[in-house]
Amino acid sequence: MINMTFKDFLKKHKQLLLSAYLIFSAFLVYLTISQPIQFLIITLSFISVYFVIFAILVYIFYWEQDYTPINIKKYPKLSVLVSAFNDFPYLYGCLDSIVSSDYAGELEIIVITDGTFDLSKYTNIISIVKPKSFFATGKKTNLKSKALNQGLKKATGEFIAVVDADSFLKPGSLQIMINHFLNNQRLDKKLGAITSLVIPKNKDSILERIQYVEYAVYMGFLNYVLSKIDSILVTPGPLTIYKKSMLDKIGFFDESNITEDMELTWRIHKNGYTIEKYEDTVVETFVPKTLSQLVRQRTRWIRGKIQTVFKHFDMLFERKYADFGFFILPYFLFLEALGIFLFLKILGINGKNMLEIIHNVYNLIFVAHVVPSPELNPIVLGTSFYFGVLLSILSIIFTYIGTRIGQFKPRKIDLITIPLYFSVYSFFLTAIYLSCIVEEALGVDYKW
Amino acid sequence: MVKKFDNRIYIISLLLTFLFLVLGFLTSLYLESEKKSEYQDIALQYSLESEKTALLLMYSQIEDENICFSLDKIIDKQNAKFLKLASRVEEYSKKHVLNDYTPIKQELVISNLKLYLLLKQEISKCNKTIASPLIYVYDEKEICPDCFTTVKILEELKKRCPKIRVFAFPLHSDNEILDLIYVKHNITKAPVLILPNNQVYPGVIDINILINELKQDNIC
Repeated sequence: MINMTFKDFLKKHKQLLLSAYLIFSAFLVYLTISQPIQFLIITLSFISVYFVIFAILVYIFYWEQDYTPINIKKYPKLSVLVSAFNDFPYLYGCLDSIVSSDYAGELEIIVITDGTFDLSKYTNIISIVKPKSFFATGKKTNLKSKALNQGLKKATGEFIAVVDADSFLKPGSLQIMINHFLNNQRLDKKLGAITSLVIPKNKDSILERIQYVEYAVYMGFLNYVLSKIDSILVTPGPLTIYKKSMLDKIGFFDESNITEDMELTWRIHKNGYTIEKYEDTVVETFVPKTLSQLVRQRTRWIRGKIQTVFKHFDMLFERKYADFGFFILPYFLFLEALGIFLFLKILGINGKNMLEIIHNVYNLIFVAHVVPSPELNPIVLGTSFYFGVLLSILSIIFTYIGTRIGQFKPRKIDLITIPLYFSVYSFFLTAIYLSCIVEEALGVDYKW
Repeated sequence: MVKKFDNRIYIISLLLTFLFLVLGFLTSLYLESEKKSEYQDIALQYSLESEKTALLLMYSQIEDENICFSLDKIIDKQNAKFLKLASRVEEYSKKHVLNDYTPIKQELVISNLKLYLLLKQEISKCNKTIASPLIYVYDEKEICPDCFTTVKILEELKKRCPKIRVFAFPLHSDNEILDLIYVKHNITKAPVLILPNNQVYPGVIDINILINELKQDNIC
């Protein structure tokens, strides 16, 4: 890169940047007054393009995967927290993957269940770890955060790994992550948590593969970019390692929030700790198999996010939270709000068109007595189409890098999956977003 | 070893975003201008054709030659061509915001009006003619769902009454002749149909009423 500091750069090009800024501002003011809709579309395009270019540049300049482990004489004690409903079907596999990950230090596994738990089913696993380091606990609770807090109170490890009961660790994951944590802690004393790459375990049907692309792009690429500017928005439930001393200081999971992992992430940033994502460790998790399961999962995520935004609203545009508060939070909230606006606009236009078609057909048949004949009008591509093409090219590059980082392995079925991911899926998610806003506004209770 | 994050990436991204959007804008402008000049050429060609038709009519009047049949054929051909072109330009101008299409549309309206007047002149000269002009007034500025229905009615009418030639004109135009026609027939809203016998039908109309009316004049 160029041997010039950021301040030097600003100083040197101050006049140019100021002129560009003034011209752009004047253009925005003109658009806001004269063409409010076009203004929103241009703003949306601008901020989307900006972030995509930013992400691509971060990838070009900072992508490095060569991991050199440091020598550690004694690995610290690690407590692994797994919360599950009674004898959850994937629990055995999850626990098996934890003990098989061959962590070199002392491992403590705490399973928090809701009610009864049959220990006899897990004798094989218990025999691997020390019997006193495996225990199940649990009181009747509908909230995962409450369950995890019960486990945290019992945990004695220096580090806490939270693993979802439907997630499966790759061999060596825990050791690599702790090694990386200790290595980076020497450079960053405030390092509080480390996350990994999450990919779906089930990835066969179209819906599962759409989520596979999504996980690769968001959990893979986006989290990687956000990690570089210490702005990770959520430490994923399938596998995150926290420093116990940090949790003792800032508090455990928020028991009033349905996305306890996201709330904790924002609180970590608020308290000045940092979060990193480590690309070399992969955890597989079961993703929703049906649309109704997906709607339920996303409803929880989005409603939890809305709750988190309200709780930590003071972080927005706050300079002391650096990129997280000043850039990423406002950016994503603004982008999502614009997305909803456009969704409503498209819905409105299509709804109006539909009503017009019904009106026209009625008039033709019952007033004019003409039998309507279906016909295909030649498609006329508008100005927005050219911009759309350019935006699509950038999106494709962004998704392509995402699929590389997210270890997405394409199949023939993806000829259907990827177009669906770019078209219908985002509208589908925006519709859920909208319904969540309405539910939150009306105070509808959330059921797990 | 973790590479230190260089803050210049924010500025470079911003500059590239500007560049990217300006590039998008210029590409759109270039492609639209290309299309606009294509339509301009077609409009010019169309205008020349109606000029030629006018000259042909003038020649027949001076030399007293009977060219009724061939004139009718020429007008018929041009009329069909115009309807297609006008609707394409109208559709294109609605979706393209970077160029002004008003001059092309005005040029097309003038050529079409000329054609309409030539046909009227031909009718008076030849007495008996194959074609009969019907004026359709549409609204190009306001959303007009009934205009869509009227177009469908006219398509069906042309099938059932092949002698009918439809001349479509916008409700709002700077053309004095059109204004005179609209004042004469008291037209303030669209859609409106003016039949060859000068009967005016506003709004969506039953096709059977139109056919009966045209049958009375032996057009249908």
